[in-house]
Amino acid sequence: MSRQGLPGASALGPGGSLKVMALSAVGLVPLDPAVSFVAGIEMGPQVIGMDAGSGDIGPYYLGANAEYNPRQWEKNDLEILLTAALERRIPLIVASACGTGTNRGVDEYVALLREIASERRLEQFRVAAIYAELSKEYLLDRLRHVSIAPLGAPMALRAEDVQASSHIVAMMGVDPIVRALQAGAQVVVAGRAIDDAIHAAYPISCGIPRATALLLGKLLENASTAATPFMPREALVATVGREDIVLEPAAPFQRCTRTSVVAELFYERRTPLLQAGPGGILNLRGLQIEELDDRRVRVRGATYEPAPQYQVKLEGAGPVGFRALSIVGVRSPQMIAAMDTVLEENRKRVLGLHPSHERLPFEITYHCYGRNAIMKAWEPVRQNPHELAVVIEVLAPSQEVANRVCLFARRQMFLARYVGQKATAGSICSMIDEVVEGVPGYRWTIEHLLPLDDPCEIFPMRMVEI
Amino acid sequence: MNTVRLADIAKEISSKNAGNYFLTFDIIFPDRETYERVKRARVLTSASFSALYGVAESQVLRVIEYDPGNAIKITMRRPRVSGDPGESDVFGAQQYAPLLDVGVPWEA
Repeated sequence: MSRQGLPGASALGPGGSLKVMALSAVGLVPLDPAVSFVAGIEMGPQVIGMDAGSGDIGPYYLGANAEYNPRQWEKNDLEILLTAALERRIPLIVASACGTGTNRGVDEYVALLREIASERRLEQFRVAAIYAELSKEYLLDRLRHVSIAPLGAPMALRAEDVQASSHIVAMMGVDPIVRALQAGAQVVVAGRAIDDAIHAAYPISCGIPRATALLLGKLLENASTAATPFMPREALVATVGREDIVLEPAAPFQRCTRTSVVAELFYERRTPLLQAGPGGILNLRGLQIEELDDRRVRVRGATYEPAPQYQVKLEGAGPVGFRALSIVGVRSPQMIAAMDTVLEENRKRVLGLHPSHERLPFEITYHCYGRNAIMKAWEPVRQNPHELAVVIEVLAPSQEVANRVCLFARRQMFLARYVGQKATAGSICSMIDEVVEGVPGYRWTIEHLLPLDDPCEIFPMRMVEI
Repeated sequence: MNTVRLADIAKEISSKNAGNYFLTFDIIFPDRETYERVKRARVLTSASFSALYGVAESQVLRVIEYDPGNAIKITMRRPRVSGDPGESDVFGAQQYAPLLDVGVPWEA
């Protein structure tokens, strides 16, 4: 295959518009090419973008640098995307590789592309790998010179937050991706990136104004989440002009409506009015949403306000210990009624473990499924269920201690005494008797804003011919 | 005056993380009239929301009445940072249930 030309204004179609196709890898199931993907490709997109990651998946995957999806699922998705993009000679942009966008994730995606190319005997193509991981040393050094403000975190970044992290990524804006496209990349594999950048980069490189491109990025960031019914794995296609965007779901069984677009603007955001990103704020106060027919919506009216300081969001996670779980079932109405006292007594016994048994600190949580496991103190419903599952969770500095403490708590539940007790042969039931080892526990350590002089300075790019 | 449940008049009611430190609740109405009635009834305010969830009003960060979308968005600080020890809802996706039963005064 011949290398495609550099993007530019010449890529714009009739009327100065572009067709952009978006997919979102929420990782629930691998892509099914038979459904909306093929329909989306038939609509003639000029670029395909896929957000492969999320910060929503909890601190474990980043902290442990673990893959969010099985390798085989990732390969399935990449194969579908890559072959379609190469066949159509359109660029493919995949960001937040492997779920968290660490360097390992980027390299893993490049390795998968190689595997696919060799198995499918694809012709040569050029991949830009963009890295987004930061070393502790780099960040500690920056901390000596600048203050790093909190975004969600309660206070400015401290050296101890950096030290407590096992992996740290920065979320790139559009600029590193635009640079990769301008360098002739047919496929961009980006590390951690803000969602909007994925779909905004190509239109920006073709001359679409930043306000419209970033609005497009925002609308497409969760792909078919902007359509109804809620089926987040489908493709969404947008036609973007200089001023406006028309959204149309690829799946025949989905529709874009005013409500579905508003739901997308609201989704996972603190406000639908302003969208802050690296380098500026997208102002959505004057947004106009217009239903063109029963499944297409036109959106326009965003403005872009450049910020005085370019900043990128940092995400960091670090270990908190090893986890063990035990599942305990209760059917006795008397014990269920007495559960508060039972758990209080259990906790007392566990925490009172003789120092000759446990010297190390540990943490124990009781999750009472059937009562308030999900909402804890927020649960307004107070009635007792007819059966209850208690998941005992222990976090400790070693797996051995976690397992032992969890087993002790479980055995104490078996021996629990309570008011009105009739049974004398064991107070709980076992689905399984063993303690289950969880993956190690992690917590978010960093959610801060790092000032940069150059939007690309911490996002090194490597060109790879495959 | 009759009362209807929010679940019976809203099109979407959901909760989700907004970053790892915040939870956001989205309530979207099918049309302007329903939305305006709920707004007038003052049943989705930071005071009513904090009472419903049993949290201090100061924990409710913001209530946005979003006219272009006939929707109301309520954002609050998470009781714990997503995924911290003791977490029960990493995505924050199951915290909306009490909103379903909010009563809205409704005149025919």
